[in-house]
Amino acid sequence: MASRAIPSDFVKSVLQNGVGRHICQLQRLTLKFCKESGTSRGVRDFIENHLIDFTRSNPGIVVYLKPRRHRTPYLVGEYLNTESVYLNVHKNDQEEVCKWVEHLRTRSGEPIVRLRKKWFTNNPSIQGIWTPFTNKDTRWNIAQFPELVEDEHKAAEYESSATEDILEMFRQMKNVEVIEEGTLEKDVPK
Amino acid sequence: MDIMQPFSLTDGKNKCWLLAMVFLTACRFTRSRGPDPFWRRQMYFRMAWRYYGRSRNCWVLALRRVHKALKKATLARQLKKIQMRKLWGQRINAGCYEHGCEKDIFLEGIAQSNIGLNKQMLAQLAIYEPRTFKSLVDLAKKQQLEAGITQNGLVAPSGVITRGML
Repeated sequence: MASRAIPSDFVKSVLQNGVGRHICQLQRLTLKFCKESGTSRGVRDFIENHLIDFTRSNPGIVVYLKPRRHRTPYLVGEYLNTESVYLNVHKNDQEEVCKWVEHLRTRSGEPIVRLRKKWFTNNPSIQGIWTPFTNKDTRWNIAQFPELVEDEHKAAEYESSATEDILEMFRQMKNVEVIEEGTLEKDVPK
Repeated sequence: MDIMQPFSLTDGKNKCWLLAMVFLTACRFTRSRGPDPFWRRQMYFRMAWRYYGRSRNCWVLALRRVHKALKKATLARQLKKIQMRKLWGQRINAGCYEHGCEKDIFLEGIAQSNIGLNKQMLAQLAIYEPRTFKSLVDLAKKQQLEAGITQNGLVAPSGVITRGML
């Protein structure tokens, strides 16, 4: 199916970035452009007008300029998780280049894929996730087995065994005394 | 009758105009064949990249498998909803039985107490917030007992004070 063929992922942040100090994930920005062709004009204008301000306000990002003759202009962003993003800025004017640079600066290196869910948490439970022992009586921790089941709602449904039924009938007959196993004088050990 | 379309040539500098007629009828009888079939097949192969063996490389096989997959996906969209509801119902039932209640009674009590939690949320609470779920079950039981339900030995839970307001 196409949705399994296309990669998807849950929402995530890189090492909980922002919970403590926010660290800019963009490590290196490379601007490849041609000094003479018209398609690189936007990048050239960006370099003249906006690049210095960008570098001053982001001292943690290393900027490389690659003037290459007769090549389309590219922005390459390299991130702390070793991912690279290549953006063709052919025929983009300087405002568009500014916006793309800002986009590269603010994204993490994680690939942009379909989000399976819009929310994510490492701690889904506050009261503790249900286990089979959550709602059991705590005296079972020190119980000696075998022990009679004394669950509230099961007590009403409890059916006695045939042996117990027969013993009950026997007890109700008069002139009969039930002798428990091992209580006769000859059986009691001395 | 031939269709004729006027067109003009202008030289920007000298502003010289040349008016002529173009015959379009013959041109309009030609039909374009459409895009290269490579692209349509590529669309299907992109959906089939994870298939086993020749089904990911051979056109006819890939087409069949991908069509089947898309059909199944269409049907599954409805089935998923049905199956998820069933799963939530099973989980709520399991949670209720631990606290001495039945699912139908619990859900009825929840609805009559005007609690707007749906089955998905109740199932999530039963898994991740067991104490909240227990309190909801107790509330529902108390409400149903006060409403007159005496099914299956329903026992009044301790610690639920309603003052007859439910």
